[in-house]
Amino acid sequence: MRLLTHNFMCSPRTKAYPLRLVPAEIEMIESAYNPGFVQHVLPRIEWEPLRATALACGLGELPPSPPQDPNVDEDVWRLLHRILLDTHVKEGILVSPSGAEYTIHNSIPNMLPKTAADAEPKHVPQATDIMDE
Amino acid sequence: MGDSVSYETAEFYPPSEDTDLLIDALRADLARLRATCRARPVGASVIVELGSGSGAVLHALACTQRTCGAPPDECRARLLDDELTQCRPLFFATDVNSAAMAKLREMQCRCQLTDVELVQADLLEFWAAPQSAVASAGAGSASCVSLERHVQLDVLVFNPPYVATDQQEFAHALEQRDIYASWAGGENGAQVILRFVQQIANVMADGGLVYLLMLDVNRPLQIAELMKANGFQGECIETRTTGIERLSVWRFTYSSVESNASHSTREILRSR
Repeated sequence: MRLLTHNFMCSPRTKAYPLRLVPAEIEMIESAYNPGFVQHVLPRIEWEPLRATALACGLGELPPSPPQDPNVDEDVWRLLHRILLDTHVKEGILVSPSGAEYTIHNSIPNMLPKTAADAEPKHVPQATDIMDE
Repeated sequence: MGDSVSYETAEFYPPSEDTDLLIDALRADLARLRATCRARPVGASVIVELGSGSGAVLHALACTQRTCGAPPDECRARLLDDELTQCRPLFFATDVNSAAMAKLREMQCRCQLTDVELVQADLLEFWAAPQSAVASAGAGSASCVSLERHVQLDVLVFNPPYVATDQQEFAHALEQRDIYASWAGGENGAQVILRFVQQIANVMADGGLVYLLMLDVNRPLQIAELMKANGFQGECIETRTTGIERLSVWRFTYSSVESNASHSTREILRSR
């Protein structure tokens, strides 16, 4: 699981966001730096959760707000590439604000509610719901 | 697949006729698929497959010849190849079945599908969408941030469990999350499809494409009506009869304008 993905995920039960990442094993896999790619991914990123997660993973400190100009602060852009795309969490846990834990094993986060009781209510809409509402 | 495949005892759903149909439908719709991804700059389009199973469809979508380690016959589809992947969409693949996830992981490593992310999850429950913020606020949790931006999907592909089953088989699928979950669809085989329809109401980007495979018993026209109420225009783009079943692949195109119009209509209906 790359940190990019962590930034997109919420608790499956309550939809709470963000999930706190507690990494146990991290692997850095260097990939070719593509400035355009990072710039276009950035608008989709929630900045504060990313900063906190980068710190928790020991990847350094990002500035308080996202970089604006792709032509300056190349160090920050490269750090972003490293954090978002090159940092792979192989083992660890994700903790929701309510304390529910989701394990990451073999690089795969398991986002299934643990028990049926944890699951969201499985209301199934019927065709008639359209008119009922 | 040969006759030896058992859909009750295998660990995960092997590539089958419905898999081939879905890949064929995607191939036939390639021009549209490419245009949708190319409308966005590199790295800015998102493709999600739900219930990826053995990963045949994901492989067809995400593989690039440049890096693939699969044998040529396994890699026959190579649908989008470098033509689409040069705009580097972000791929997400999910399944509820642990055995399927392990298989997907193995394929990902072997074929070096570097822009693919694997998440074991039930449909899109894991995806942070706008209602996240609302739900968190309702729960009164101070540690939740309000989502200013959420990541919308450009392409969503789903070969759902569509076989009509009794409640016992459906309950088995929900509890065990094994191979039953790949085919057991409960009443009319449509119970998972209906949850899917409900979940995707506000996750797609404008112009986003949803590819959904259905069986006649799922009542595709009725599903399409439900989708329409959420802003999706549907069209059946591929059908195939296998044995006694007729399978079809539908393409739904999302329009936020249509979605708002439908909501207004519902408001009017409600106020009467």
